[in-house]
Formats: sequence, structure tokens, C-alpha cells
Amino acid sequence: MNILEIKNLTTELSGDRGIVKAVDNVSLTLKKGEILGLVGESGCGKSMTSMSIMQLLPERQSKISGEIIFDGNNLLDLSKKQMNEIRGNKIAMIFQDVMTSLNPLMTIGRQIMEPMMVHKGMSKAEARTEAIRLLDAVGIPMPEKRVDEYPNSLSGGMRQRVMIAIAISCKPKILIADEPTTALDVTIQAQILELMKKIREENETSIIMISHDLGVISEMCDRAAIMYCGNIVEEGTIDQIFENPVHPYTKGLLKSIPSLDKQVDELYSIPGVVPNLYNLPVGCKFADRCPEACEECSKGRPARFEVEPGHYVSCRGGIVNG
Amino acid sequence: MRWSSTLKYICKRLLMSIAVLFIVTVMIFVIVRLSPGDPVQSRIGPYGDYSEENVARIEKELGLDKPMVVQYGIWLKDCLSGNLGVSLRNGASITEIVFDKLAVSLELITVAILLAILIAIPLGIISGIKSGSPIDQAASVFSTGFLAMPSFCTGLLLIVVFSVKLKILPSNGYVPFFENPEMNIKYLILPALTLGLYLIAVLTRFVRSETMEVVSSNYVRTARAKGMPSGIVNKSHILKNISTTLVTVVGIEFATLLGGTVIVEQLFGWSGLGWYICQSVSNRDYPAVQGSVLIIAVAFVLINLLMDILYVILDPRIELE
Repeated sequence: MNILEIKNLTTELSGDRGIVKAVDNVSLTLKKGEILGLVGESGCGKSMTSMSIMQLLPERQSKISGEIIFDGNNLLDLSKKQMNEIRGNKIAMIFQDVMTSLNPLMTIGRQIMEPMMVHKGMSKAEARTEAIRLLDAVGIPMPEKRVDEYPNSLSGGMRQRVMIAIAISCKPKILIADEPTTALDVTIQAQILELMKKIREENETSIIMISHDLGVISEMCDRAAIMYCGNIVEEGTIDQIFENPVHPYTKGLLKSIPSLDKQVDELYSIPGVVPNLYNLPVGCKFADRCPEACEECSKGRPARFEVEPGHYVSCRGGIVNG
Repeated sequence: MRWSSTLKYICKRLLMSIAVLFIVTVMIFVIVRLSPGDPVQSRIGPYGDYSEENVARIEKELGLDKPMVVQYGIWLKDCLSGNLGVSLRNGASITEIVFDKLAVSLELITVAILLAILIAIPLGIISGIKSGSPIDQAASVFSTGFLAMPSFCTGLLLIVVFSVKLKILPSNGYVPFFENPEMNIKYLILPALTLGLYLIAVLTRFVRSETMEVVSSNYVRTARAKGMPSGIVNKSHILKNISTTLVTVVGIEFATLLGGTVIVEQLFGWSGLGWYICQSVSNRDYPAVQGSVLIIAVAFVLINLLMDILYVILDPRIELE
């Protein structure tokens, strides 16, 4: 059962130098209880996709079109008030910047209590009890004491646990995790990822996991979508993506993972650079860097097709080769 | 635990304040004596008796014949016992005069600051949240205008409009509040407005830039991601986080105005402390100048101390050690 359906989502941002399509015609589905990975380099539009779903982009500088169907409603048609009732309540989000994402002047207890008081109408006392329980559930020792402390007395890993406690406080159906472990130590990373798996199992929460770390994605996710320059270039189950990558960009990404088995002098990197978003090529955005590109590739955007059941690719080469 | 360390912190600040005040007394004493002019001359007047005996007699009477260090010691001892000396001009107790004048100034400053807080905080926050909107642009024109305009200019403009043309408010004078509340307020409106307009301009700019920074911060994004209605976001996440800046700006402006209302007080004949210092300087009334400046310095230090304490209450990140 699909819990979230994104159809032709396009997000345009206007800045000093003009308008860029940060998200370009993205379609995605998220099933109940699944963890979907959104992978790509920085600036490829993965965070913008999540910010568009949550509608957290500054209104003045952004234009979102397409459809985001959740609970039978297109989120883009909802009023501000209706959207507020969904944010933090049915769809929650955790962020990468753990050191700055909590309000430094508010106790962590208050910050966890806020959404429960607003969305669930809990009294202060009820919310406080629940906040202590949540802190305990996300693995924070001495929650009764911690609840009255301020974020500055917590480490990065602890702060991310608090962020997770805030996000799951209203038992959301969808949790969007934007690079939740990027700012953390490797050992802490593993703990946070374990915690997220536990949350999925306990509440059947669907998770969109955004990361540039293929290791994290293969470890955590059921399915993954690879993004490049605002487009999803390949989508499939973890096995399909990692065992049988079709898009040359996906292949390049997988090839650039350092391996312990092989001794290499130089790590592989995809040749060339990401094209300028203000001045995109007419054809496939990856054509300039693609080892398999043919003449056709620079003439128009590639269409999306299904290589095998549930495995989609947007690439002309795929048609030619496959 | 935090309370005991807070107390320690306050004590430390208090000790530092005392040290600052000590240095201030030395500076006041030296600067007043370095300034041109002679108190003996001002005492005798242009047509008085300038014979050697008379000058020596007056010097002795004023204590000016003793070495500087001794003069300072005597002054400091008197100050500590609350005696700021007597005016060279008319022999009145300076302690009494200065506190009277301070109260007069405080009425003006407090009203101006309250006016500024009531208008500038909402205006600055709206401008910051909706930067680039028509309201923001209007506020920006307004604050740049009044920041650029010297207070005597604003004051004269207000006098021309409200006293000369419309004839609804008096242009100059002061009546104590308890003597005649209605007249006191009538006299108060124009000088308070003159100071207030400038303060609104300063404060609006600070609040706006601080708000813009907080609005784009990650924790406000978190608050929005939690689905908090804008009322809660504005109050608990934005206003609360600009409060330390507010305390700083309001505190500094308040303290600065204590001695900085000279021009406005002169212009409107509002006989406060600024006005009194001006008079005393031109009369070479050493003890009066010393006493007034000392009181302003004490007030300044006290306001600073209060600000430091408020910071600790408002911001848990402040290191107490």
C-alpha cells in the first residue's frame, strides 16, 4: 500500500542569479512500513525534495508544482493551517545539523512536548510524562533529569536522539530523515541507524532516508532512488540497485566506493563536474560525464522505463543496450 | 546547582562593578580638574575682589589649596557617605539636586524607551519575518530617516508642527508631575517623542536584523517542521531568541540616555540631569559636575550589572565560571 505518492514534483527556486529547477519532474512512491533511500551528491535535489514535501521552503523564493498525495489529499492544495496539522504530526522530519537544529533557549523537554500539546491536545503534565518516556525510548540515560536541560549540555549524538524523540512524539506515519547521521561519529551513526530501524518495526513508520552514503543506504533501506541534478535517474530495490545497476551514474557511484578487498592506488571518481543548474544542457544532464553516451543523448531528456519489475531507469543507453 | 553558581557569578560581577566605579571616580576627578576654567574665578565673578588674600581665602574654603591626592581622598570619602558636596554656585546640597534632576530625566527617558519598545519590537519582528515586504520597506525608510536626523532637528520640527502651527502642545518648560500632572504630561510629550522616534529607529533596525537571522536558523526550521502554528513560532522560538539582543540594546540605550539627553533637555527646557550638567559645566561648578557624572556612572554600571544578570536568566548557554 502506498502511503505517499509524489507525481511530477518540480521545485523552482529563485535567487539572485535567476531561477533554478532544484527538483525536476520527480515521481516517487513510498510504501507503508518501508525505508526508501534517496541518494545523490550534494546539491542534487534530495534535500529539496524533502523540503518540498514538508513545504518548508521560503514561500517567496520557491514555486512547487506537481502532486504530493498523502491520505488522499494533495499536500500542495492544503491551506497553511491544514499543512501545520500534518507537519510534525503525520509527517515528521529530522535534520542533519544536529548542533543547530534545537532551540538553544528552550529545555529539551519543552521542545519534545510542543508538538504533542499542539497536535494531540495533551496537557502539560501528560506531555511531560510522555517526553520522559520518549527520551528513554531513544536511549537517553536519566531522562527525568535530561528533560529539564538545555541542548547545550548534550553531545551531538544525544541531540540527534532528542530530534528523533521530537519527530516520533506524535507517532507519524512518515519520517523523513535528511542525512541524520552525517554529522555524527561512526559509532554513534550505527546506534542512530539501529534506533531508526527499531522505530520502523515498532510503529510501522515509513521512512524516507536521505543520504549520500551508499553504505548507510544499503544497510538501512528496502528500496532506493538515485538522484542527479534534480532528476531521479534510477529507482529500484536495494538488490536491484546494488547488484544490477543500469544507469551509468549509478554504476559510477558504486564504482567509487572504496573496497577493502582490492588494493588500488587511486580511488575511482566519475569524470567531469555536475553541470551548472542555471545553464543545463538540452539533453540528458549526465551525458557530458557519461562513458556510455551516444549522439542521441544530447538531443532530449531521456524517458523513464522499467528494466525489470519495480526497477526504473531514465536513460537512453538503457534502451540501446537493454 | 545553577542557582549557587548564578549567585557566585553575580557576586563576581558586583566586585568587578566596584572596581570599575573606582577607576571612574579617578577619571572624573582628573578630567574635571584638567578642563579649562577656574572655579575661584567663577565664584568671585567678573567684577569681584581679585586680591591675593581673597583668592587664597576662597581656595582654602573650597579645599583647593590641598594637594590633589588629598582632595581626591576627601571627595571619595564624602561620596561614600552619600555626600556629593555643595554647589560652588549657591551652596546647595548636590546630592539632593542630582537625585531630583535624575528623577526628572528618568521620567523622560522611561517614557521614550517604553514608546520605543512598544512600537519597535512588533515592527522589527514583522519586518524581519517579512523582509522585502511593503511594511518592511516602509519601516526601513522610517528608521533610516530618524537615525540620520539629529535630535535637535526632530525636536524643532515637532515644535514647529505641534506648538507653532497646531498650537496644541507647549514648546518649552517643565512642571513636576505631583504639582500638576496634566501640564507635566503636556510638557513631556514633545521631548519624549523626539527621543522616542530616534530610539524606535535604532531598535527597529536591531530587532529586524536579529529576527532575520533567527528566522533563517535551523531551530526555527525545526519548529516549523514540528507543525507549530506561526503564533507559537513567533513567540517561543523567535521572540525568545532575540531577547538577549533586546536586553543589550535597550540597556545600552537607557544608560546612554541618562547623560545623553542634554540637547533634547536644553531644547525643551526639560530641567533634567543633562540640562543640569550643561549648566554646571558652564559655571565651572566642579562638585556639581563631579557629582552628576558620578551618579550617571553608577547608574550605568548598575544597568550593566542588571543586564548581565538578565542574560544568565535568559540564556542557559552563558558560562557562569
